[in-house]
Amino acid sequence: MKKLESTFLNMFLSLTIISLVAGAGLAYVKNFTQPKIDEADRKNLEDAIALVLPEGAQVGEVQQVDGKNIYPATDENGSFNGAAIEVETDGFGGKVKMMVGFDAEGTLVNYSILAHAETPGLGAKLDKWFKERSDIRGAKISDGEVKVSKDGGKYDAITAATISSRAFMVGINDAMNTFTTIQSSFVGTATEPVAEQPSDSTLVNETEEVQL
Amino acid sequence: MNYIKPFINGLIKENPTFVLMLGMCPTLGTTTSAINGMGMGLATMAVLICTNTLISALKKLIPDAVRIPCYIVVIAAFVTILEMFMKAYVPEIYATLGLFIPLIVVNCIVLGRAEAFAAKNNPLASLMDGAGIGLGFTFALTLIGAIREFLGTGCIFDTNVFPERFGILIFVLAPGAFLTLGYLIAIINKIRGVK
Repeated sequence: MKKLESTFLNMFLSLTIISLVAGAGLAYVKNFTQPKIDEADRKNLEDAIALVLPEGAQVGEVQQVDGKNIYPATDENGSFNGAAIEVETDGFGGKVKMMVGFDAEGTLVNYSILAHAETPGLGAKLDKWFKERSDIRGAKISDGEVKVSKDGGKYDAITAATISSRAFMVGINDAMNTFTTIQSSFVGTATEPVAEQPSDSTLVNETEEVQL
Repeated sequence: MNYIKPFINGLIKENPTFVLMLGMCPTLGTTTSAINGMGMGLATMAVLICTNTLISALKKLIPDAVRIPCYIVVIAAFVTILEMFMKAYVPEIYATLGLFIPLIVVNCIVLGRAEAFAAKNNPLASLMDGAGIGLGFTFALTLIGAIREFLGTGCIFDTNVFPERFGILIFVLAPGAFLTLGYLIAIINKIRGVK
């Protein structure tokens, strides 16, 4: 067969047909992979939530407070047992998305990095550093803001990745503030009186939170 | 026709990174560790094999004047398919390579081989060329990634070789990519006897 001449009709037809076939192929693959992609995303999120909440916690319905996703948890008796809070912070290479979990008294249980663009070998060590080298777990909200040691705090920053570490602290503090805000709305359901609330804690959306 | 020749040719004599100097952007950007380099290389190889074969099969049906847009549509379709598959089945690798996967569309290796080889040869030879060039690219990226990871953090493929605190930090940062690539090209040119 001879190669097609570059006439207007030939060019029009070949480009149109190739584009149509490519489009149809993409639609087919999209249909086929989308459930898998959703499932992988969902599993990632569920694993992160399970990791950061106290053991045996039942995860409740997601709530929106201050534009953040909050996953409140209850223990086996149905009383408030902490919450996992999804926060975003500006890291060195882009947004760092993380899940931070607290128990009912406002003690940081664990954290999980959901997505980041930090430098591999440096800032990317966020996921382990603040568990293994400078353990942030067990930090209490009542003790005030968390800081890296360079800023007068008690947590060592990742070697040569102070910006990532500071961003991490900003994210943790952000989550702590949000937790303080929502904590009071769960007091009625808590088994024991929750630690004293700072006076500035306010309910963002009282009616909605009470029924949840 | 000999089908081994285009394969060996792509792997060594026309290695895309060290000899043709194509696709420098992903080469420098993704080689922060050996596993990232290998992931990027394999992803590019998968695209290259598919596009080379298909473009070679379609070459009689594509009029010369619109060949570039046609090639790009084919390449973009394959890259998007690959992206969706990676998201679905290997989300961990997708998370680290994220941004660079869609950029394979504009990787000059892919379009370059379509234009230079697939448009002139039969589908089987084009497939072998795609595999050879892709493997050469994977090899080069893995090598650069391994050197940078080793010098920078003391690990190869996440296996610790020497304590991390002795690592030369600059090698995992952007300048380290240029240094490593430059020295590797110099060494390979010396071996090839290029002056």
